[in-house]
Amino acid sequence: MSNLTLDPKEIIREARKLEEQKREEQSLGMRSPRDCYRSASRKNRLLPVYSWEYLGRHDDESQGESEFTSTSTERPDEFDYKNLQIQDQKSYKLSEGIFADYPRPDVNEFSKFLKSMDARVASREMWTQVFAYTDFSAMPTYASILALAATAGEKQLSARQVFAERCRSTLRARGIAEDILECLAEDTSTESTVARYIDAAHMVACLEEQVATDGYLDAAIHFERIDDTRSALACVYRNARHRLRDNQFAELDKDIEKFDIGAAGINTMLAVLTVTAPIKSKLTKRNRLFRQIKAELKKRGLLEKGLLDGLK
Amino acid sequence: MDRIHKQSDRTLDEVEHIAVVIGEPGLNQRHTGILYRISDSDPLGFLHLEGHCRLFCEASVKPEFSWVAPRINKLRLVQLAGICDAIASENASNSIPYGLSAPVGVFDNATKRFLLGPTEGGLTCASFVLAVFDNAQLQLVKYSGWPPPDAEDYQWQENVLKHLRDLRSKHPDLVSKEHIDCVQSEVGTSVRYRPEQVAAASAIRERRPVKYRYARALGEQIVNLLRGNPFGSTMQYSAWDRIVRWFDRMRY
Repeated sequence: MSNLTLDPKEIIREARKLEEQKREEQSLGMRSPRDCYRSASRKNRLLPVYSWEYLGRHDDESQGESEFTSTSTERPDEFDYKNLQIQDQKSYKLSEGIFADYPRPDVNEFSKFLKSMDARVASREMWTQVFAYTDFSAMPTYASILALAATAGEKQLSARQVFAERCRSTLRARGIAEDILECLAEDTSTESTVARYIDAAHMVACLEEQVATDGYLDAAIHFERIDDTRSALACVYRNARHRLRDNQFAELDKDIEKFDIGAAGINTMLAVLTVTAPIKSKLTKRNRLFRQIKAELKKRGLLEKGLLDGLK
Repeated sequence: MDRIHKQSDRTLDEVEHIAVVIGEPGLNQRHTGILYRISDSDPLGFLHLEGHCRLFCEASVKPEFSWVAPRINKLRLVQLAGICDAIASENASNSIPYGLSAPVGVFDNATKRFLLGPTEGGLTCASFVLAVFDNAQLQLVKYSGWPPPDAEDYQWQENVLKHLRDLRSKHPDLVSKEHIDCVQSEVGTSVRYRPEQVAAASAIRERRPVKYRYARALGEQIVNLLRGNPFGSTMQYSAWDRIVRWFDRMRY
């Protein structure tokens, strides 16, 4: 037992040593990756490791082998790390700026955002930097999908392949069907792939955002089409709850007015009726919606006994 | 009754989206909850209110518990499973107190969280199940026709109050004085929905809400089943209900 007891003098010695080390690091302008990550705002937790390297080691060539060199086995093949150290600050600022303000979850906004990304990140090397050092885990999942969309023409990029697999596992962990990233259509041109990724980013945003997202009913319809009923229901229930919480009854009324019944699956239709039933008196368009859904179900031969009980 | 199954006869793998679970874990003490999954490939979750501030969503059910396949349209069961999922994720395990309040409108439509307040003191395991079904616009029982508590119900309600007082003496931060006062005011006045009656109501017929007499009659048979006795005779409906059932069949 005695060798488990710590000597108080030794503890003080260790503490002083650590303090000295910290002071020394500060005087040299070095920051740990954790410090760098913590000091950044949530939106700007971009490239924490990269900025640590940049701010701390970049100007300290005299120290000999840098941290980059010691972790050389983890580097993507196509990336020239020596060059990175020499690269000017412009490159760093460019990478930092990409996701500094991610777009509002809207298909049109996403398209504009992709164009701005294309203009900023022109080379495969730059994308490798972004994939390797951007802290996507601190961002919404749709930002990752947009990064995939922006590199749809660079499918052979090894860093992108790794990143795509990471995106898939994130979706799996959240119970979202990873099929939203797969190409189901025969048309596999880059344009159609980008459009698909934008749709996927919007669908994921509809599940993640803490406020109602425009077009969530379309997202639910897509989810049901790929047999992800769980996400389809969650999409309707969560967004409608956000609308109710924020007293957006007029917006909810507009949502159900625009609801594409012809394209919707039966689970999405029932979810819309179920979630709006307790507040039907406040929704002027709901009666019409009920009649239309009933007629549509009859047309499809799906109107069964007890199916719409309590939903009128 | 073709809707009520022991796990030894039909395993839980056969549950289609929703099952009402019923068991007798103690002497003359039944417990109920909802087993749910949205897709057939999802794992089952057993959502139940085990006691005061003890809401659980568990992956397993005790093997001695039986389950009831609700006589409700399968597509509506999918919606109910979605609501169970929302309630399970939005309510922390300590968010629903044990009490004798009515199971109507107890979950906030905007958040799916339990609404604490002067009228919503708390739920029992059975009224929790009713509240969840109610939230999916599937009212299981006819609340207005439920009788006031009889002597046995009154005794049970007194026991609930005593249990809460004991809990407060041991853990004052867990049970508030206001909650004790609320439950005390409900003893003898609040209707008691028994677990077996709730399970029976889900099994009886497609047209709801179920009347007390049918829920009670089938509930008694469920208790017999739980105790290893043979199931009684089939349900005898009144002449009026037979006519209503006939009209129902004609409608579709």
